Amino acid sequence: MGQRRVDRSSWIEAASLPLLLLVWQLFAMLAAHRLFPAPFEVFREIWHLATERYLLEDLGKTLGRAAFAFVASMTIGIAIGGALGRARTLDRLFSSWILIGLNIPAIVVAIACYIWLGLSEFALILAVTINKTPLVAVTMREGVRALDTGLTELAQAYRVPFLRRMRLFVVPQLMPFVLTAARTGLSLIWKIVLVFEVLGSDGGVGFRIGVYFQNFDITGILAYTLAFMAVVIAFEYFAMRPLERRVLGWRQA
Amino acid sequence: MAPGIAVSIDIRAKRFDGATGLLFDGLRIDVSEGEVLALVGPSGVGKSSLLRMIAGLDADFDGEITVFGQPASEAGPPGFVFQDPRLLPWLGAAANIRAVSPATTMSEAVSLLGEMGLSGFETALPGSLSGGMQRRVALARALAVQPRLMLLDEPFVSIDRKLVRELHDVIGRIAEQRRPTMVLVSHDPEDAARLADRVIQLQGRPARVIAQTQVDTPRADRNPARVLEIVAQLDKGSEE
Repeated sequence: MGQRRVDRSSWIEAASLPLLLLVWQLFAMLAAHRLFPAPFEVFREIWHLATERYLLEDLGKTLGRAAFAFVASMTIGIAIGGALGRARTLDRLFSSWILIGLNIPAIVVAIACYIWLGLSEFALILAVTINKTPLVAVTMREGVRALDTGLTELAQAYRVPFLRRMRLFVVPQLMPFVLTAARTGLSLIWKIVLVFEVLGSDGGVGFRIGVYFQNFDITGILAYTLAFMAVVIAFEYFAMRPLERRVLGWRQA
Repeated sequence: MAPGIAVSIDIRAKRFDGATGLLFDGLRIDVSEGEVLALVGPSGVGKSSLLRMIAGLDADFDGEITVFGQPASEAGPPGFVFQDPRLLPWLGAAANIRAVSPATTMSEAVSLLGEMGLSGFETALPGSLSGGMQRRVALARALAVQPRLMLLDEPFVSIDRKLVRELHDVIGRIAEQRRPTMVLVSHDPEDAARLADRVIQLQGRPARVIAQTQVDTPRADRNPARVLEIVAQLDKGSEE
């Protein structure tokens, strides 16, 4: 009974993307306009761009930038969030900074970084990192605050050494927060990397979409978007979900 | 350290931050090696706080607590059984034991679980175990550090009477076979009557010892009728 329900929900989930393509196809047929291409035309354009133009190179550039910014913001955000969650004084002193960081428009940070550092790779990655770090810090601060004091006391009572305590008692408690920060952070990074590439870069998905926009080439824009979304979805299904199952599998018990 | 004394408690003053009154004011208790001492009293009297101080978890007081001659916080780990099982939900039963006692081998952990009647549950996650099974894992974990001192903080709270009787038997067996020094905290005199060699009743704020009762009947001979007699004796002692 339970197995049948799981099978059914898997099928429903598997039908989700084909359904989206079907809806897209129907709208394209209804619109019947060159500015609303059908999925098949876009897929053909993807093949063309990938084999004869710069699609793969642009994807590589954008993913590289996103990866650098992701690693940097997760590392810095976890450190800051951990410190703020542990030390009330630090939290009081810097909570306004975090609030500003969370709410400052991303475009302002990008422009400021480009003005101060020039239209460079470093400025772009730094701007993305600055935008994402406060979100990670806030999530991790909540994670550290939510640490189970009972388990801390248990580790103290049994004189568990620091590194072992971190590995077995603390990190597993923080993992749900790390994964939440990673997931929300990635969705933010995917979006702002592209915007910043439009604003100032020498290549990448955002840069190319900016060029196609100037030519009103909607098929090219959708081809790049679809290729990029395919990578994002592949990352979700082949990296995030298996990781989540591995790290948080015990929650099903 | 006086010979044969496992735990020496000499608290001149203990108060919590922000509290107006003292929790303890001149409390002296010695626990002999191998003795099972029960601390009984109403909720909030400071029994669990005292246990935390013996475990070296709270050193913020005026006075001295030594465990086998060493300051409590520097002594080896006690076998501490908390009110709730406090198992790491992401680790299996045997891994929970080894988490606090890495020197314990997997086969030793399995054997300890077997002793607690949990053979076959070595890899079971705490979430899949009943409340009683989780408490037995917690007991096995306490034994894994081969403690000379066991601290039991209301281990029978919030569980049904059948399970309480089972755990009484398990703890009684540990006391007889392994002979660690035990300090048992309970609000229920029956727990003390079943398990303790000596019962200290605490009351008031600051907490003071209102009665001390030596229970001479061997644990094996404490049938329900005898337990009731001891409980009555404890009740009488607290009224005097």
